[in-house]
Amino acid sequence: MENIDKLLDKYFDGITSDKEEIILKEYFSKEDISPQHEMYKPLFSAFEREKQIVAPKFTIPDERNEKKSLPKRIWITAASVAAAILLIILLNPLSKNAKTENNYLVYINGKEITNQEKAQQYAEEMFMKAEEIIRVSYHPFEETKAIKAEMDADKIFNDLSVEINNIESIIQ
Amino acid sequence: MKKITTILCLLFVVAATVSAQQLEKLFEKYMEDERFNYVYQKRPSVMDRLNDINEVYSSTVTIYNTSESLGRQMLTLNSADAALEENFSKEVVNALKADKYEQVSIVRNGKNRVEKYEKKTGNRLSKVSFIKNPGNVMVSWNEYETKKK
Amino acid sequence: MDAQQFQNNILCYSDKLYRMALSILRDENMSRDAYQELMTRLWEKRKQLEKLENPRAFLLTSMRNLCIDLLRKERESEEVSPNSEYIAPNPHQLAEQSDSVSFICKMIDSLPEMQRTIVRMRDVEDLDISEIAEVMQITENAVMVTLSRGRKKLREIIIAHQQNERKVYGKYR
Repeated sequence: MENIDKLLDKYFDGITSDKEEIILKEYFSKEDISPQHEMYKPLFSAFEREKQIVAPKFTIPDERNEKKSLPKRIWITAASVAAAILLIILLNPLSKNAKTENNYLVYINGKEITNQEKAQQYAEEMFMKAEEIIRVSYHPFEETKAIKAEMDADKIFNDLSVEINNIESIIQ
Repeated sequence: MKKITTILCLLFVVAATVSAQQLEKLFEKYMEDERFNYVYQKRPSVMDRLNDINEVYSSTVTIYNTSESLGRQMLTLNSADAALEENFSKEVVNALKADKYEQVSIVRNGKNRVEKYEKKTGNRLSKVSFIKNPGNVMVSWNEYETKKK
Repeated sequence: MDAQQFQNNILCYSDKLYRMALSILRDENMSRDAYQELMTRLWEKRKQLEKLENPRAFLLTSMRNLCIDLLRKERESEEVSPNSEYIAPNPHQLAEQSDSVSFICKMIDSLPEMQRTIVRMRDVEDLDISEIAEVMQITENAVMVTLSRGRKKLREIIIAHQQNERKVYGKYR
Protein backbone atom coordinates (compact mmCIF):
# COMPACT_ATOMS: atom_id res chain seq x y z
CA MET A 1 0.00 0.00 0.00
CA GLU A 2 1.65 3.16 -1.22
CA ASN A 3 -0.56 5.32 0.91
CA ILE A 4 0.82 3.78 4.02
CA ASP A 5 4.36 4.09 2.75
CA LYS A 6 3.85 7.77 2.05
CA LEU A 7 2.32 8.25 5.44
CA LEU A 8 5.19 6.42 7.06
CA ASP A 9 7.66 8.71 5.36
CA LYS A 10 5.78 11.71 6.60
CA TYR A 11 5.56 10.11 9.98
CA PHE A 12 9.29 9.74 10.35
CA ASP A 13 9.74 13.28 9.10
CA GLY A 14 7.47 14.40 11.89
CA ILE A 15 5.02 16.14 9.61
CA THR A 16 1.97 13.90 9.74
CA SER A 17 -1.26 15.57 10.72
CA ASP A 18 -3.45 14.32 13.53
CA LYS A 19 -5.76 12.55 11.11
CA GLU A 20 -2.90 10.94 9.24
CA GLU A 21 -1.46 9.60 12.43
CA ILE A 22 -4.83 8.12 13.33
CA ILE A 23 -4.88 6.30 9.98
CA LEU A 24 -1.43 4.88 10.62
CA LYS A 25 -2.30 3.74 14.11
CA GLU A 26 -5.48 2.09 12.97
CA TYR A 27 -3.59 0.35 10.20
CA PHE A 28 -0.94 -1.04 12.54
CA SER A 29 -3.49 -2.26 15.05
CA LYS A 30 -4.86 -4.74 12.52
CA GLU A 31 -3.69 -8.32 12.42
CA ASP A 32 -2.83 -8.59 8.74
CA ILE A 33 -0.53 -5.92 7.38
CA SER A 34 1.85 -5.92 4.49
CA PRO A 35 5.09 -7.79 5.16
CA GLN A 36 7.27 -4.73 4.50
CA HIS A 37 5.42 -2.93 7.28
CA GLU A 38 5.71 -5.78 9.76
CA MET A 39 8.84 -4.39 11.28
CA TYR A 40 7.04 -1.27 12.43
CA LYS A 41 4.28 -3.11 14.16
CA PRO A 42 6.14 -3.43 17.48
CA LEU A 43 6.71 0.32 17.44
CA PHE A 44 3.03 1.15 17.27
CA SER A 45 2.18 -1.67 19.61
CA ALA A 46 4.67 -0.28 22.12
CA PHE A 47 2.85 3.03 22.09
CA GLU A 48 -0.45 1.28 22.64
CA ARG A 49 1.02 -0.67 25.51
CA GLU A 50 2.36 2.45 27.19
CA LYS A 51 -1.11 3.95 27.03
CA GLN A 52 -2.17 1.28 29.51
CA ILE A 53 0.11 2.56 32.24
CA VAL A 54 -1.93 4.16 35.01
CA ALA A 55 -0.94 6.55 37.75
CA PRO A 56 -0.78 5.47 41.39
CA LYS A 57 -3.63 6.49 43.63
CA PHE A 58 -3.56 9.94 45.10
CA THR A 59 -5.66 10.43 48.22
CA ILE A 60 -7.03 13.89 48.51
CA PRO A 61 -6.24 15.14 52.02
CA ASP A 62 -9.15 15.62 54.35
CA GLU A 63 -10.26 19.24 54.01
CA ARG A 64 -11.52 19.38 57.56
CA ASN A 65 -8.03 18.76 58.95
CA GLU A 66 -6.64 21.52 56.80
CA LYS A 67 -9.11 24.11 57.97
CA LYS A 68 -7.77 23.75 61.48
CA SER A 69 -4.39 25.01 60.38
CA LEU A 70 -5.62 28.49 59.53
CA PRO A 71 -7.43 29.23 62.78
CA LYS A 72 -4.51 27.65 64.60
CA ARG A 73 -2.19 30.26 63.20
CA ILE A 74 -4.59 32.95 64.22
CA TRP A 75 -4.77 31.49 67.71
CA ILE A 76 -1.02 31.42 68.04
CA THR A 77 -0.75 35.01 66.86
CA ALA A 78 -3.54 36.11 69.18
CA ALA A 79 -2.04 34.24 72.10
CA SER A 80 1.38 35.75 71.56
CA VAL A 81 -0.09 39.24 71.30
CA ALA A 82 -2.07 38.69 74.48
CA ALA A 83 1.01 37.35 76.22
CA ALA A 84 3.00 40.35 75.10
CA ILE A 85 0.42 42.77 76.40
CA LEU A 86 0.24 40.86 79.66
CA LEU A 87 4.00 40.94 79.94
CA ILE A 88 4.06 44.70 79.50
CA ILE A 89 1.38 45.17 82.10
CA LEU A 90 3.06 42.89 84.59
CA LEU A 91 6.47 44.39 84.15
CA ASN A 92 5.19 47.91 84.39
CA PRO A 93 4.74 48.33 88.07
CA LEU A 94 1.56 50.01 89.06
CA SER A 95 2.24 53.47 90.31
CA LYS A 96 1.75 53.94 93.98
CA ASN A 97 -0.46 56.88 93.29
CA ALA A 98 -2.94 54.58 91.70
CA LYS A 99 -2.65 52.01 94.42
CA THR A 100 -3.75 54.12 97.29
CA GLU A 101 -5.90 57.16 97.43
CA ASN A 102 -4.86 57.73 100.97
CA ASN A 103 -1.85 59.76 101.75
CA TYR A 104 -0.31 56.96 103.75
CA LEU A 105 0.26 53.32 103.10
CA VAL A 106 1.62 51.25 105.94
CA TYR A 107 2.33 47.58 106.34
CA ILE A 108 3.60 46.23 109.61
CA ASN A 109 4.89 42.70 109.33
CA GLY A 110 2.78 42.20 106.26
CA LYS A 111 -0.41 43.55 107.77
CA GLU A 112 -1.90 46.67 106.33
CA ILE A 113 -2.81 49.43 108.70
CA THR A 114 -6.06 50.65 107.31
CA ASN A 115 -6.77 53.26 109.93
CA GLN A 116 -5.34 56.36 108.34
CA GLU A 117 -4.71 58.15 111.60
CA LYS A 118 -2.68 55.30 112.95
CA ALA A 119 -0.95 54.85 109.65
CA GLN A 120 0.00 58.47 109.55
CA GLN A 121 1.35 58.50 113.05
CA TYR A 122 3.35 55.40 112.51
CA ALA A 123 4.75 56.52 109.20
CA GLU A 124 5.77 59.91 110.50
CA GLU A 125 7.41 58.30 113.47
CA MET A 126 9.37 55.95 111.24
CA PHE A 127 10.51 58.68 108.91
CA MET A 128 11.60 60.78 111.81
CA LYS A 129 13.56 57.96 113.32
CA ALA A 130 15.33 57.30 110.06
CA GLU A 131 16.24 60.92 109.70
CA GLU A 132 17.52 60.96 113.20
CA ILE A 133 19.69 57.95 112.57
CA ILE A 134 21.13 59.57 109.50
CA ARG A 135 21.82 62.76 111.35
CA VAL A 136 23.24 60.98 114.30
CA SER A 137 25.43 58.78 112.18
CA TYR A 138 27.78 61.67 112.12
CA HIS A 139 27.81 61.65 115.91
CA PRO A 140 29.62 59.44 118.35
CA PHE A 141 28.84 55.87 119.06
CA GLU A 142 26.63 56.06 122.13
CA GLU A 143 23.68 57.78 120.51
CA THR A 144 23.24 55.13 117.87
CA LYS A 145 22.74 52.48 120.48
CA ALA A 146 19.87 54.42 121.91
CA ILE A 147 18.23 54.78 118.51
CA LYS A 148 18.41 51.09 117.78
CA ALA A 149 16.36 50.32 120.85
CA GLU A 150 13.72 52.74 119.76
CA MET A 151 13.45 51.31 116.23
CA ASP A 152 11.50 48.27 117.31
CA ALA A 153 8.43 48.46 115.10
CA ASP A 154 6.05 46.57 117.30
CA LYS A 155 6.97 48.66 120.29
CA ILE A 156 6.38 51.84 118.36
CA PHE A 157 3.07 50.58 117.12
CA ASN A 158 1.95 49.43 120.50
CA ASP A 159 2.93 52.72 122.02
CA LEU A 160 1.04 54.52 119.33
CA SER A 161 -2.02 52.35 119.77
CA VAL A 162 -2.02 52.96 123.47
CA GLU A 163 -1.69 56.68 122.91
CA ILE A 164 -4.49 56.77 120.39
CA ASN A 165 -6.74 54.71 122.60
CA ASN A 166 -6.05 57.11 125.38
CA ILE A 167 -6.89 60.05 123.19
CA GLU A 168 -10.10 58.43 122.03
CA SER A 169 -11.17 57.57 125.50
CA ILE A 170 -10.49 61.09 126.57
CA ILE A 171 -12.55 62.53 123.74
CA GLN A 172 -15.43 60.26 124.58
CA MET B 1 10.05 38.58 59.26
CA LYS B 2 7.39 40.86 60.61
CA LYS B 3 6.91 38.53 63.55
CA ILE B 4 10.57 38.67 64.44
CA THR B 5 10.62 42.46 64.28
CA THR B 6 7.59 42.68 66.53
CA ILE B 7 9.09 40.34 69.08
CA LEU B 8 12.36 42.25 69.06
CA CYS B 9 10.58 45.57 69.60
CA LEU B 10 8.65 44.00 72.40
CA LEU B 11 11.77 42.71 74.10
CA PHE B 12 13.37 46.10 73.73
CA VAL B 13 10.39 47.78 75.40
CA VAL B 14 10.38 45.21 78.15
CA ALA B 15 14.10 45.58 78.74
CA ALA B 16 13.81 49.34 78.86
CA THR B 17 10.91 49.12 81.27
CA VAL B 18 12.59 46.58 83.43
CA SER B 19 15.95 48.27 83.62
CA ALA B 20 14.91 51.31 85.61
CA GLN B 21 12.63 49.51 87.98
CA GLN B 22 14.72 47.24 90.10
CA LEU B 23 14.42 49.27 93.30
CA GLU B 24 10.71 49.65 92.76
CA LYS B 25 10.38 45.92 92.32
CA LEU B 26 12.37 45.33 95.47
CA PHE B 27 10.02 47.49 97.46
CA GLU B 28 7.02 45.78 95.99
CA LYS B 29 8.50 42.43 96.73
CA TYR B 30 8.91 43.01 100.42
CA MET B 31 6.36 45.62 101.39
CA GLU B 32 3.80 43.04 102.38
CA ASP B 33 6.33 40.57 103.66
CA GLU B 34 5.74 39.74 107.29
CA ARG B 35 9.38 40.14 108.13
CA PHE B 36 9.35 43.75 107.00
CA ASN B 37 7.69 46.99 107.78
CA TYR B 38 6.73 49.38 105.10
CA VAL B 39 5.66 52.96 105.17
CA TYR B 40 4.73 55.21 102.33
CA GLN B 41 3.78 58.80 102.33
CA LYS B 42 2.31 60.11 99.16
CA ARG B 43 2.82 63.78 99.60
CA PRO B 44 5.00 64.90 102.44
CA SER B 45 4.54 68.49 103.38
CA VAL B 46 7.41 70.87 103.35
CA MET B 47 7.52 70.68 107.12
CA ASP B 48 8.05 66.96 106.83
CA ARG B 49 10.99 67.51 104.70
CA LEU B 50 12.88 69.94 106.80
CA ASN B 51 15.64 67.46 106.97
CA ASP B 52 16.20 67.65 103.28
CA ILE B 53 16.93 71.32 103.20
CA ASN B 54 20.58 71.06 103.95
CA GLU B 55 21.09 68.18 101.64
CA VAL B 56 19.27 69.06 98.47
CA TYR B 57 19.88 72.74 98.19
CA SER B 58 21.90 75.24 100.06
CA SER B 59 19.15 77.73 100.64
CA THR B 60 15.79 77.35 102.29
CA VAL B 61 14.11 79.41 99.66
CA THR B 62 15.25 77.22 96.86
CA ILE B 63 13.73 74.05 98.18
CA TYR B 64 10.34 75.52 98.77
CA ASN B 65 10.07 76.86 95.28
CA THR B 66 11.89 74.60 93.03
CA SER B 67 11.18 71.09 94.02
CA GLU B 68 8.12 69.03 94.60
CA SER B 69 8.14 65.83 96.47
CA LEU B 70 6.82 62.83 94.66
CA GLY B 71 6.49 60.80 97.77
CA ARG B 72 8.69 58.91 100.11
CA GLN B 73 8.70 55.34 101.20
CA MET B 74 10.67 53.21 103.55
CA LEU B 75 11.24 49.53 103.96
CA THR B 76 12.54 48.22 107.28
CA LEU B 77 13.81 44.80 108.16
CA ASN B 78 13.92 44.07 111.86
CA SER B 79 15.56 40.76 112.19
CA ALA B 80 18.08 38.90 114.29
CA ASP B 81 18.82 36.69 111.31
CA ALA B 82 22.18 37.84 109.99
CA ALA B 83 21.87 35.81 106.80
CA LEU B 84 18.57 37.43 105.97
CA GLU B 85 20.01 40.86 106.59
CA GLU B 86 22.96 40.03 104.43
CA ASN B 87 20.78 38.80 101.59
CA PHE B 88 18.47 41.75 101.74
CA SER B 89 21.41 44.15 101.79
CA LYS B 90 22.82 42.51 98.71
CA GLU B 91 19.50 42.77 96.93
CA VAL B 92 19.30 46.44 97.77
CA VAL B 93 22.79 47.16 96.50
CA ASN B 94 22.13 45.19 93.30
CA ALA B 95 18.89 47.03 92.69
CA LEU B 96 20.60 50.37 93.20
CA LYS B 97 23.34 49.39 90.79
CA ALA B 98 20.86 48.18 88.19
CA ASP B 99 18.89 51.40 88.43
CA LYS B 100 22.10 53.38 88.04
CA TYR B 101 22.18 55.09 91.40
CA GLU B 102 25.36 56.87 92.42
CA GLN B 103 26.74 56.47 95.88
CA VAL B 104 27.27 59.91 97.38
CA SER B 105 28.36 59.14 100.94
CA ILE B 106 29.07 56.40 103.43
CA VAL B 107 29.26 56.92 107.13
CA ARG B 108 30.37 54.21 109.49
CA ASN B 109 29.90 54.49 113.17
CA GLY B 110 30.85 51.33 114.95
CA LYS B 111 28.63 48.64 113.59
CA ASN B 112 26.25 51.11 112.06
CA ARG B 113 26.49 52.26 108.55
CA VAL B 114 24.61 54.81 106.51
CA GLU B 115 24.97 54.87 102.75
CA LYS B 116 23.43 57.49 100.56
CA TYR B 117 22.61 57.15 96.90
CA GLU B 118 21.32 59.60 94.35
CA LYS B 119 20.06 59.55 90.83
CA LYS B 120 19.01 62.34 88.60
CA THR B 121 16.90 61.56 85.57
CA GLY B 122 15.85 64.67 83.75
CA ASN B 123 13.78 66.65 86.24
CA ARG B 124 13.52 63.87 88.70
CA LEU B 125 15.85 63.49 91.64
CA SER B 126 15.84 60.24 93.57
CA LYS B 127 17.55 59.83 96.90
CA VAL B 128 17.98 56.60 98.73
CA SER B 129 19.32 56.19 102.24
CA PHE B 130 20.48 52.76 103.14
CA ILE B 131 20.82 52.34 106.89
CA LYS B 132 22.34 49.29 108.46
CA ASN B 133 22.36 48.61 112.16
CA PRO B 134 22.77 45.20 113.68
CA GLY B 135 19.33 43.69 113.73
CA ASN B 136 17.98 46.45 111.58
CA VAL B 137 18.13 47.43 107.93
CA MET B 138 16.28 50.34 106.44
CA VAL B 139 15.92 51.59 102.94
CA SER B 140 14.47 55.03 102.62
CA TRP B 141 13.56 56.34 99.22
CA ASN B 142 12.62 59.90 98.41
CA GLU B 143 11.80 61.36 95.07
CA TYR B 144 11.66 64.97 94.04
CA GLU B 145 10.81 66.80 90.95
CA THR B 146 12.83 69.92 90.38
CA LYS B 147 10.80 72.65 88.78
CA LYS B 148 12.34 75.21 86.50
CA LYS B 149 11.95 78.78 87.63
CA MET C 1 -11.93 24.25 44.45
CA ASP C 2 -13.18 21.41 46.54
CA ALA C 3 -12.28 17.74 46.50
CA GLN C 4 -14.82 16.85 43.86
CA GLN C 5 -13.69 19.59 41.50
CA PHE C 6 -10.08 18.62 42.06
CA GLN C 7 -11.00 15.07 41.20
CA ASN C 8 -12.76 16.10 38.01
CA ASN C 9 -10.49 18.82 36.71
CA ILE C 10 -7.04 17.85 37.90
CA LEU C 11 -6.96 14.18 38.75
CA CYS C 12 -8.36 13.32 35.33
CA TYR C 13 -4.84 13.97 34.01
CA SER C 14 -3.20 11.66 36.51
CA ASP C 15 -2.18 8.99 34.04
CA LYS C 16 -0.63 11.41 31.60
CA LEU C 17 1.25 13.09 34.38
CA TYR C 18 2.56 9.85 35.77
CA ARG C 19 3.66 8.66 32.36
CA MET C 20 5.43 11.94 31.82
CA ALA C 21 7.38 11.35 35.01
CA LEU C 22 8.20 7.80 33.93
CA SER C 23 9.47 9.02 30.60
CA ILE C 24 11.79 11.59 32.12
CA LEU C 25 12.94 9.75 35.23
CA ARG C 26 12.92 6.22 33.81
CA ASP C 27 12.43 4.85 37.30
CA GLU C 28 9.15 3.67 38.72
CA ASN C 29 9.84 4.55 42.36
CA MET C 30 11.06 8.03 41.57
CA SER C 31 8.11 8.55 39.30
CA ARG C 32 5.65 7.53 41.96
CA ASP C 33 7.29 9.95 44.39
CA ALA C 34 7.27 12.73 41.82
CA TYR C 35 3.64 12.11 41.06
CA GLN C 36 2.64 12.17 44.73
CA GLU C 37 4.63 15.31 45.32
CA LEU C 38 3.11 17.10 42.36
CA MET C 39 -0.40 16.14 43.36
CA THR C 40 0.19 17.28 46.92
CA ARG C 41 1.48 20.63 45.74
CA LEU C 42 -1.39 21.01 43.32
CA TRP C 43 -3.85 20.29 46.08
CA GLU C 44 -2.28 22.90 48.28
CA LYS C 45 -2.45 25.44 45.48
CA ARG C 46 -5.89 24.41 44.30
CA LYS C 47 -7.32 27.86 44.67
CA GLN C 48 -4.91 29.25 42.08
CA LEU C 49 -5.61 26.32 39.77
CA GLU C 50 -9.21 27.42 39.40
CA LYS C 51 -8.09 30.28 37.21
CA LEU C 52 -6.31 28.08 34.68
CA GLU C 53 -7.69 28.08 31.18
CA ASN C 54 -5.70 25.14 29.94
CA PRO C 55 -4.87 23.00 32.93
CA ARG C 56 -3.50 20.10 30.95
CA ALA C 57 -0.54 21.94 29.45
CA PHE C 58 0.15 23.65 32.77
CA LEU C 59 0.09 20.36 34.65
CA LEU C 60 2.37 18.61 32.21
CA THR C 61 4.82 21.50 32.32
CA SER C 62 4.76 21.39 36.11
CA MET C 63 5.46 17.70 36.14
CA ARG C 64 8.26 18.09 33.66
CA ASN C 65 9.87 20.88 35.65
CA LEU C 66 9.56 18.88 38.84
CA CYS C 67 11.22 15.87 37.26
CA ILE C 68 14.03 17.87 35.75
CA ASP C 69 14.56 19.42 39.15
CA LEU C 70 14.70 15.99 40.74
CA LEU C 71 17.26 14.82 38.21
CA ARG C 72 19.37 17.87 38.80
CA LYS C 73 19.34 17.28 42.54
CA GLU C 74 20.29 13.65 42.01
CA ARG C 75 23.21 14.65 39.89
CA GLU C 76 24.38 17.22 42.40
CA SER C 77 24.15 14.93 45.36
CA GLU C 78 26.95 12.47 45.68
CA GLU C 79 24.79 9.77 47.08
CA VAL C 80 23.21 8.65 43.87
CA SER C 81 21.96 5.19 44.55
CA PRO C 82 22.86 2.62 41.96
CA ASN C 83 19.24 1.81 41.41
CA SER C 84 18.36 5.22 40.15
CA GLU C 85 21.11 5.23 37.58
CA TYR C 86 19.88 4.54 34.16
CA ILE C 87 21.81 1.90 32.38
CA ALA C 88 21.05 1.73 28.72
CA PRO C 89 20.18 -1.83 27.89
CA ASN C 90 22.21 -3.73 25.41
CA PRO C 91 19.89 -3.98 22.41
CA HIS C 92 21.07 -7.38 21.41
CA GLN C 93 20.70 -8.91 24.83
CA LEU C 94 17.30 -7.36 25.28
CA ALA C 95 16.02 -8.55 21.99
CA GLU C 96 16.90 -12.07 22.87
CA GLN C 97 15.38 -11.95 26.31
CA SER C 98 12.09 -10.14 25.87
CA ASP C 99 9.52 -9.65 23.21
CA SER C 100 9.78 -6.99 20.55
CA VAL C 101 7.33 -4.62 22.14
CA SER C 102 9.20 -4.49 25.45
CA PHE C 103 12.32 -4.08 23.44
CA ILE C 104 10.92 -1.03 21.69
CA CYS C 105 9.78 0.48 24.99
CA LYS C 106 13.23 0.15 26.37
CA MET C 107 14.72 1.56 23.24
CA ILE C 108 12.52 4.59 23.51
CA ASP C 109 13.93 5.10 26.98
CA SER C 110 17.40 5.13 25.53
CA LEU C 111 16.65 8.21 23.46
CA PRO C 112 17.70 11.63 24.75
CA GLU C 113 15.13 13.11 27.10
CA MET C 114 13.61 15.66 24.79
CA GLN C 115 13.21 13.19 21.97
CA ARG C 116 11.65 10.45 24.01
CA THR C 117 9.34 12.85 25.87
CA ILE C 118 8.13 14.50 22.67
CA VAL C 119 7.69 11.19 20.86
CA ARG C 120 5.60 9.88 23.73
CA MET C 121 3.57 13.07 24.00
CA ARG C 122 2.65 12.66 20.36
CA ASP C 123 2.31 8.92 20.01
CA VAL C 124 1.15 7.83 23.44
CA GLU C 125 -0.68 10.89 24.75
CA ASP C 126 -1.96 12.12 21.36
CA LEU C 127 -1.22 15.78 22.02
CA ASP C 128 -1.12 18.36 19.21
CA ILE C 129 2.11 19.90 18.14
CA SER C 130 1.02 23.24 19.55
CA GLU C 131 0.33 21.81 22.97
CA ILE C 132 3.62 19.91 22.97
CA ALA C 133 5.35 23.16 22.10
CA GLU C 134 3.64 24.82 25.08
CA VAL C 135 4.64 22.07 27.48
CA MET C 136 8.23 21.84 26.27
CA GLN C 137 8.41 25.61 25.89
CA ILE C 138 9.92 25.45 22.44
CA THR C 139 8.63 26.38 19.01
CA GLU C 140 6.32 24.12 17.03
CA ASN C 141 9.02 23.78 14.45
CA ALA C 142 11.47 22.61 17.07
CA VAL C 143 8.88 20.09 18.22
CA MET C 144 8.54 18.65 14.74
CA VAL C 145 12.28 18.48 14.20
CA THR C 146 12.83 16.70 17.51
CA LEU C 147 9.91 14.40 16.86
CA SER C 148 11.39 13.45 13.53
CA ARG C 149 14.80 12.81 15.02
CA GLY C 150 13.36 10.58 17.71
CA ARG C 151 11.24 8.56 15.36
CA LYS C 152 14.08 8.16 12.87
CA LYS C 153 16.36 6.98 15.60
CA LEU C 154 13.79 4.38 16.53
CA ARG C 155 13.57 3.33 12.92
CA GLU C 156 17.33 2.90 12.85
CA ILE C 157 17.16 0.71 15.92
CA ILE C 158 14.34 -1.32 14.43
CA ILE C 159 16.17 -1.85 11.16
CA ALA C 160 19.40 -2.74 12.89
CA HIS C 161 17.58 -5.17 15.12
CA GLN C 162 15.88 -6.76 12.18
CA GLN C 163 19.14 -7.18 10.33
CA ASN C 164 20.64 -8.65 13.43
CA GLU C 165 17.82 -11.15 13.73
CA ARG C 166 18.29 -12.16 10.18
CA LYS C 167 21.94 -12.72 10.87
CA VAL C 168 21.24 -14.76 13.96
CA TYR C 169 18.30 -16.72 12.79
CA GLY C 170 19.07 -16.71 9.13
CA LYS C 171 21.32 -19.68 9.60
CA TYR C 172 18.50 -21.79 10.87
CA ARG C 173 16.14 -21.12 8.00
